[in-house]
Amino acid sequence: MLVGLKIWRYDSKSGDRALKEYEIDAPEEATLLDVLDLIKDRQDGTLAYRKSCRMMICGSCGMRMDGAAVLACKTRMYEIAESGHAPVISAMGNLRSSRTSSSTWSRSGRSSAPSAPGSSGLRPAARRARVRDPAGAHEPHPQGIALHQLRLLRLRVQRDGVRPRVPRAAGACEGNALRRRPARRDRGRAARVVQLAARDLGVHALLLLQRALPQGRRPARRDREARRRVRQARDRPRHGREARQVVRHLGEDDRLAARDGARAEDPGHPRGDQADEVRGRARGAGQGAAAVPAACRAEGGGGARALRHRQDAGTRRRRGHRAGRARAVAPRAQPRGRGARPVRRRLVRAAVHRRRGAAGGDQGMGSLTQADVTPGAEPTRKPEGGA
Amino acid sequence: MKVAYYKGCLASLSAKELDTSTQALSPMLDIELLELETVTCCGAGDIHEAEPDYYLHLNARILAYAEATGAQTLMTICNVCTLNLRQANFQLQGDEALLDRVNKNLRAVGVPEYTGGVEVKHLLWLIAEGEGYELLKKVAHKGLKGLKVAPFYGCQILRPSKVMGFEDPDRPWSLEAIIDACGGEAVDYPRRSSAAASRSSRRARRPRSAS
Repeated sequence: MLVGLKIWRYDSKSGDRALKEYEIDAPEEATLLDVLDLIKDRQDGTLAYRKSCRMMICGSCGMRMDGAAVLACKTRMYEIAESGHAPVISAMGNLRSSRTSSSTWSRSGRSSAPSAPGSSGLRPAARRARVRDPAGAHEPHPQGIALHQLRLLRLRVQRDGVRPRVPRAAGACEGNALRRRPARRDRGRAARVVQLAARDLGVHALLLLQRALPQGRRPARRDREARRRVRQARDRPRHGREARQVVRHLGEDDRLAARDGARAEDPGHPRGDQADEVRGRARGAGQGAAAVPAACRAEGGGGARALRHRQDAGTRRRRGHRAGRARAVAPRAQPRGRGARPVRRRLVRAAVHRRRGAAGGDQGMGSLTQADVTPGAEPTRKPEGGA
Repeated sequence: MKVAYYKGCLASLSAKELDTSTQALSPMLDIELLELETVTCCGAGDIHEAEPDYYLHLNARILAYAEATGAQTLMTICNVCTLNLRQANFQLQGDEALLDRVNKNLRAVGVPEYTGGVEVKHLLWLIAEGEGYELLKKVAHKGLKGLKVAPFYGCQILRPSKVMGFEDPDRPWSLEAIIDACGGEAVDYPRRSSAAASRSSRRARRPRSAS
């Protein structure tokens, strides 16, 4: 597009101001700063102005266009050029002849004073440079041309928006330089859990991972090894009796009572405290621990049974429990009352009642008030008030 | 032989010895250097990945200025520049529509058009083939005096072979020829043509090593 500008030019030597017109062909996306660059490069190298970031940050390229303060790098020229208007560009003090350097401009209040030859207000170094190469001052710097062309090329490329089929690494996208992807927060969390578990178990994390894999995903060799280990564990010879299951449901009948020859009427012994047997016997005066074995012997093996029971504790079945459990399996004759009591307590109480009933109520084995007596024998009376 | 000389960024700044030695050696090898003034960086590996279209225009501009000097060969002294310029040249010469679009943009910014008449060559290739080898034998008067030298090519001067195409990427010979011309003894070893890990790969995430 053809862009026309009218620029107030100032000659620091004569002090004169003149409005100079320029017309240049610029790309459609060009800004005022781009147009000024083109004018300076191609038409009039004496045009001088300040610019820096060229991206609307620093404000160095501030100037007046038709009296209004604008940023040259921000002002697009397309609509102005299309309308045919040639705006008037004047400085906010920063448009000057190229004979003066920016260092002169930085001294406030001196830019408007006419400068005499040889004392243009330049710093000594800049003055020497100008004298050394007076002809080159008008020639644009090749690197500046290159940078300017690159900038315009970039604008045109972005306008084209074409993505050529150039092989590139996965993950790169147009306009974004390759950058490191931020680490995901949850990445490594699972691995950390495994590491902690491995540390607690005292094994290497890799071993734990391999063990944790489901069968289908492990290598076939490991699956075979695992199956062989299970088979060996299952089939290995065991000493002694086969261990019974710890948990047995009341509903199932494992027929242990039948196996051990328990009788239905066998009251059995409470599992908990074997001292209940001794506690339940009545003690007369002078009868203490020495009398207990005799009383037990007199009972016809009750004590022996208790002794045997104690000796066999841990290996033999509790007959009472088996019998009691067998009775518990039978359907209940009475409906379940309110506040159902635990089964064990019910069984113990039932056994106690049976004993009482067999021995005549409050007498006989297991009686709380009298010592165990054989039916027909004289009971040993407890001392009054004693336990 | 007149060649357009493109030194790139490193030879201008951090590896000036490349430029210095090239400037000193070229007259001895009957190579006339036509230095390019208004050229910029070729983009290395970054721009090629991030903005492929801009990378094309960037290198097309360099090729256009090289062609404007009248030379038919653009000589480089950097492996990355050689790869970038040759790859861009390969695409432009193989696609007329692409060349037209790029030339349109180049014209708009004041760059001369590129017609595809330039070939990019590394200094190594110019010396290893043709008369350069014999000339080097004459000028290498100090020589390597039987010194055993292990040549390292890297990957960018050899691959991709359809773009570079000077020598077999698995059995390169140009460096060995130069070492031999200088009186040294080239040592063969397995990794002489492997990659040396460029900047891009160093920035990539490193794989976790098994603990």
